Amino acid sequence: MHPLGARRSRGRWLAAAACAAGLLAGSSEAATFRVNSTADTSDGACAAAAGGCTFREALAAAVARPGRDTVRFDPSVFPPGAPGVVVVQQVLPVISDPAGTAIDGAGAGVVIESGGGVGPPIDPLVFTSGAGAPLRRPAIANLTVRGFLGTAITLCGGELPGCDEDVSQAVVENVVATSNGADGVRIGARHVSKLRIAGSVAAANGGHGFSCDVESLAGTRIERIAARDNAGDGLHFFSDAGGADNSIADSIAIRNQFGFYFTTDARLTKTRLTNVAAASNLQSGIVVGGPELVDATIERASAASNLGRGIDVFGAREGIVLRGVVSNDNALGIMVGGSPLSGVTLTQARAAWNATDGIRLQSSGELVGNRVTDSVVAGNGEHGLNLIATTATGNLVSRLRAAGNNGTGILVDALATGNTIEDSQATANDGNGITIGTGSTGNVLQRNTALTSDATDLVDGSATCTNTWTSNVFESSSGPCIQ
Amino acid sequence: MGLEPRGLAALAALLLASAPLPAGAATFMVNSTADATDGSCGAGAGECTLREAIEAAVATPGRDTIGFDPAVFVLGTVTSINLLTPLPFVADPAGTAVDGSGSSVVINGDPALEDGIVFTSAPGVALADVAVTRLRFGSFPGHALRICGGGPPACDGDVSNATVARVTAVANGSDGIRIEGRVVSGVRVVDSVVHSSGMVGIHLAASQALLGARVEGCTARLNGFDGVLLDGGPRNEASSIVRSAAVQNTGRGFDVRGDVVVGPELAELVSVANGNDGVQVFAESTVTSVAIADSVAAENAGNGFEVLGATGHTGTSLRGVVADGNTPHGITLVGPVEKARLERAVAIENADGGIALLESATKVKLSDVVALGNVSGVYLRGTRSSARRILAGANDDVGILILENGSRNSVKQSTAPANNTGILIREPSTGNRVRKNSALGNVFADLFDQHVGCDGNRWRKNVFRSAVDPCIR
Repeated sequence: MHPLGARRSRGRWLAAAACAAGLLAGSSEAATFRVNSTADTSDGACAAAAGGCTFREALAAAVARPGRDTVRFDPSVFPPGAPGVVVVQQVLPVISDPAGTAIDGAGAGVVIESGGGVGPPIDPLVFTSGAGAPLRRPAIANLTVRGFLGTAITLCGGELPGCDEDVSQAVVENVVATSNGADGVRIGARHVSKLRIAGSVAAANGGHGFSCDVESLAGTRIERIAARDNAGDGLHFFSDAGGADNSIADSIAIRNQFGFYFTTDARLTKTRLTNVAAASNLQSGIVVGGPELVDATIERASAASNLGRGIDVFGAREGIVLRGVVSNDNALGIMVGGSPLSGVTLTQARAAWNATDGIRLQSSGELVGNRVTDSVVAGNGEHGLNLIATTATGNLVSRLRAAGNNGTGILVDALATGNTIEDSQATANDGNGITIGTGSTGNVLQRNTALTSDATDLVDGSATCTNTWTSNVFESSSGPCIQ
Repeated sequence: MGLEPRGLAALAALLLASAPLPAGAATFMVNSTADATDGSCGAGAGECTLREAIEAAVATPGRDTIGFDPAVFVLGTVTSINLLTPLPFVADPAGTAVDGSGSSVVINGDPALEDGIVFTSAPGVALADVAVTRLRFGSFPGHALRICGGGPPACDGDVSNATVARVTAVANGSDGIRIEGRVVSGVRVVDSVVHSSGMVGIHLAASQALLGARVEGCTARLNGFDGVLLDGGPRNEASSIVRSAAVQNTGRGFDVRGDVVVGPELAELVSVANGNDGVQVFAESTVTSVAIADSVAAENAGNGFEVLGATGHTGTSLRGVVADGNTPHGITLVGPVEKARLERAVAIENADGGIALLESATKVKLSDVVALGNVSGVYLRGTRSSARRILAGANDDVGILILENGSRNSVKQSTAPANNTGILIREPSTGNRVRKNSALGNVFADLFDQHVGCDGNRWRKNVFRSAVDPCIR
């Protein structure tokens, strides 16, 4: 579907009608202005005659009219495949309209480029709605913005610099923001709802690739984006007061600070990341969390060679699912933290060759009712699976394979009660195979295989038989009741 | 009138009681850690060494069992037998079971020795039903555990239905576990660990054919050559390696090979930081119906996954595989490939291609693939292949590349952002279709057809900004 949805056909009709009448904007409501010049000049009018409408003139015309106007580009001047370049020499007008404005290069090839040393504008494309007014349905699609000192595209609810009003139903689609001095795409607002960013690329910007720093965030859909070589994060979304029902899918981030950074200072619910990949970022690859993370799913995510953690989920409370995630060659493979940390399901995960632990579930307090199943941790620099907490209760580790880690294969580093470790393998680890902490009671360790540990295959930190070990395969053990 | 059923039962019982015991039912229980022999394996405390038990088993026809007294080899307390001289071969065509279940037994070698325990039959004679369970081997200059059809060095007899379970072999000079013969069939190695062998960790080798071999739940780490090697010689059929890990081996992590390779299954493998390929299936001639699923190959100094059929390559399937940081390629199919399928794959930051079809390929289907940060994301070569829903981004050179002489291939519904070139068709490829893709933010060009005028390649409904040919749409 066209990024601007049903408005497209209407816009075309309006443009045709306007041209037929010799007018570019013949309606008191929405109008379409067609850019047909690559120059950066203004005579105050966006005319239909050849060369009669520059980008600057079209923006000025759209701003001057109320309603949700559209700026489009003449493909004979901006041919697809050999894009026409508008070299911007002065600050462009702020696109100020609470009804939103659409700038759409569909069917054309459009590049908006900084004019370099001739008074280069800071932020070239800024959408605002004015003081006290929310910004609705701004859209920018199908063009490239490059080489500016500031942020390439800014969607600002209210007015600069505060951006303290709402933004709703904004669309950024098929946009490329590259080599700008600040962010590639930035959304500033109080509440942001139903934001859609799709098919877009942010590369080599001096700030974040895609940035959204707001009070709250709901209904965001981010898909098919790529963030590469940005000095800030690839995607940086932060909300002070929380967020709900947000998703990122089919996207990549490489060589940024953080790859995907999606956090809050409050409560984040219904967050979903699917088929995302983050590699060689200077910090963690994928970060999701806040003081209270509820109902989050990360599925088929990959993180490789990030200098921080591969996948970092923090503030986890309930309904946290990581399924089919892979994290290799990071500082730490998969980290899920919270205090208490409860209700995490981590399944079909693989973490290999990370500098410290493969998978770590960590709480400064309780670790309750979490499940790690059907996963593999191999060749990590410290432990394979590490459960760290003051107390650990009712957690399940099942069908985990921990092989060739430099530390312990499966480590429960907590006062553990009523946990189960079963049907798992801990083989060829440099530390112990499976270790359960001192003073632990009522845990069940059954049908596990722990072999060729450099230290001891099975270790029970309790001096008395307070845990149940049955049907395990091992060569060496430390604990009176291991069998 | 015949006998009543009760009468028949009584007669049967009488016959059984008077018959000689069936050959091969003997069990010899090792109850000493010493390495000595007085020629008999006695039941008294300390009266049966491993050496004596093997001698007794060899002297007794049939499939005997050697066990270990758990009172001596206490479970959880490593108890070692330090060998002083080579053990006799466990020579019995009917096979022998050596079972350390319920105990902790370590059999240690010595620099003056060669192999650890060697099972044989006789030259040219088949060896069946060997079973080794729950033993640990260490420090043998040769192979730790060797099951040899016929006898060494030729191993020219068949081997069938051998089982090695929960065996560990650490720091041996040659292979950790080696099973070899003329035709090797129905062999299983399960839940075993091989660590720091001088050569291969787990090595199954056949001079004529390897049939139905299975390695399951095993770990091979820091071995001097491959972690797991299944070498069928002329024919390797229905081999499988599942739920296993290979870490830091000098050679390949997992290697399945033969002149002809048919139907190997490799699933749930992790192969990391090996000195060569992570997972390889190699055929000097043809390879057929390879299935690789749900596996990871990372940081290997070879390809992550390689399937190579030098003269033919049919029906390969890779599903749910991840290849990170390998050199050169993440996933590569080598040889004349036909009807392969690759879906739900991820290839990140491999030194050359993320997914590379390097020779002629026909009807290869790629779908739901992520290729990130490689030199090139996806290479296609040949005819009638398709790439759908590919996300090939931030590759140093090309996101999706149709190599020279590609024809009638299609690239559809894919995304190629932030590469040097997004989608490229090399000259003189013709008749390819590139439709409904998005390629944006590429440095050199989003879409590039090296043919002037595209020469039969059809580019339609793509989202892009820059293109090196006006025929691209």
